[in-house]
Amino acid sequence: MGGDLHVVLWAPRSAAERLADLAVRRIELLESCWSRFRSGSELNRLNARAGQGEVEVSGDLRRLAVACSDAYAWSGGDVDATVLGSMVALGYAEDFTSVAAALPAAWVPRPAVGMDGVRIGLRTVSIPAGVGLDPGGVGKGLAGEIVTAEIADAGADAMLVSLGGDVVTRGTPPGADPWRVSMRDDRLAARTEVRVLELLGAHRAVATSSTLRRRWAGRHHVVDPRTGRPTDSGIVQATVVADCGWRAEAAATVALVRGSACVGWLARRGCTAYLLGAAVPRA
Amino acid sequence: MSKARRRVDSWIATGLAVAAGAGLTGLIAVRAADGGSRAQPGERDRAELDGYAEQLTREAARLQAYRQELRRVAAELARGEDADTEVVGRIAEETRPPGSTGESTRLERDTATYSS
Repeated sequence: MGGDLHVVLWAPRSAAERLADLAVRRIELLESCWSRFRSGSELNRLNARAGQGEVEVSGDLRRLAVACSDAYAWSGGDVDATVLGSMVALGYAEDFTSVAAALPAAWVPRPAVGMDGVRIGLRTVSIPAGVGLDPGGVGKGLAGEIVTAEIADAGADAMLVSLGGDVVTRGTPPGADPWRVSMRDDRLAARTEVRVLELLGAHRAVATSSTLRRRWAGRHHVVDPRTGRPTDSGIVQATVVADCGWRAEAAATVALVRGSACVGWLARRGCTAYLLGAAVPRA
Repeated sequence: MSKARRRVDSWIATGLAVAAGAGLTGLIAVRAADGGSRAQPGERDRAELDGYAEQLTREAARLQAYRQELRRVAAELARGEDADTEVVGRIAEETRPPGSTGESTRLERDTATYSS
C-alpha cells in the first residue's frame, strides 16, 4: 500500500506475538486483493471487466468499493476512485518506481467520471466501460480500520497500525497514556518534526496527504478529479485527525483539492487538521 | 397464428441460425488462418477465468486460515488465564529486488519486541 507497515499492540503476554503476526498477515491479504500495482490482484481483475456488467467479488473487495463510494459522497466528489484514468494519463500507471520510465510524451488531462456509475450489489460490483478504480488513500485507511477492529475484537487491549505513516488506533495503552504520532514538514529538506499529535479515545485515525512526495516531471500524485490535473490549491500538505481511517484519508485529500476553502467543511465534520501552504517557513 | 405464418417464421428462424452458423464458421476459419496454432479467444478467456477462480480460491483459503487462527487466539484470551500484558511491535517494510517493477512487491518482516 505504498509504504511500510508498523503494528504496535498491547495484549496478554501469551497472545501478543501471535496477534501482531496475524495483523501483518491480514494486511498482506488486503494488499493482494486491493493493490492496483499487482496485475493479478482482484481489483485489477475487476477493472479489466469494466463494461461487462456485474462481476462477483470477494467480501473484502466489496468493502473497498463501498468505502470508495462512501468517500465520494462524503467528500462531495473530491475523493473519486474513478480517478484511475487521470492517474494513468499523468503517467502514474505502474508503481512509483516505474513512473518516470512510463512518462507519456504528450499529456492530456483526463477528468474522472465519478462513482455514480459504479453499482455495488450484495456480492457484485459493476463498473462502466472505460472506467477503473484506484482506491488511493481510502484503501490504506480502510485497511487500518479492518485490521485494528479484527485484532481488537480478538482480545488486544490497544493497537496502532501505521500504513506508510497513516495511522489508525483502537483502545488506549495501559496507564492511559495517549498514542503519540510525530508530524513532519515535507517542505523542509530535513523533514523536521513540527508537532506531536496525541491520540486519546477508543478509536482515532491520522492521515497525511502531500503534494511534495511522489513527484515526477513537475507533476505529483494528488489529482483533482474534476480537472484530471494535479492539485494546485495552495495547500501542499494536510494532516487530518478523524474518527475513522478512510475519513481521515479522504479529508486530507479534500484539503489539497479545495485549499483554504476546506476549513469550514473540515470543522463541520469534526476533523482536526494541520494545513501547510506552499511558502517554506524561515529557519 | 396460421400454419402458413408459423412455417414462414420457422424458415426465417432457421435461415438466421444457418447464417449465424456460417458467420461463426467463417469467423473461426479466419481466426484459424490468422492465428495458426494459437488458442481460440474462447479458450484463452476460459483459461484466464479458470486461473482467476483458482487464485480466488487460494486467497479465500488464506483468509479462512487467518480467521481460524484469530478465533483460536480469541478463545484462549476469553478464558482470561493470562493477566500479564506486554507490548509487541512489528515492522513490515515494502521491499523490491533491484530493477523490479511493482509486480514483485512483497513484504518482509523485521521484529522488535518490547516488554512492559
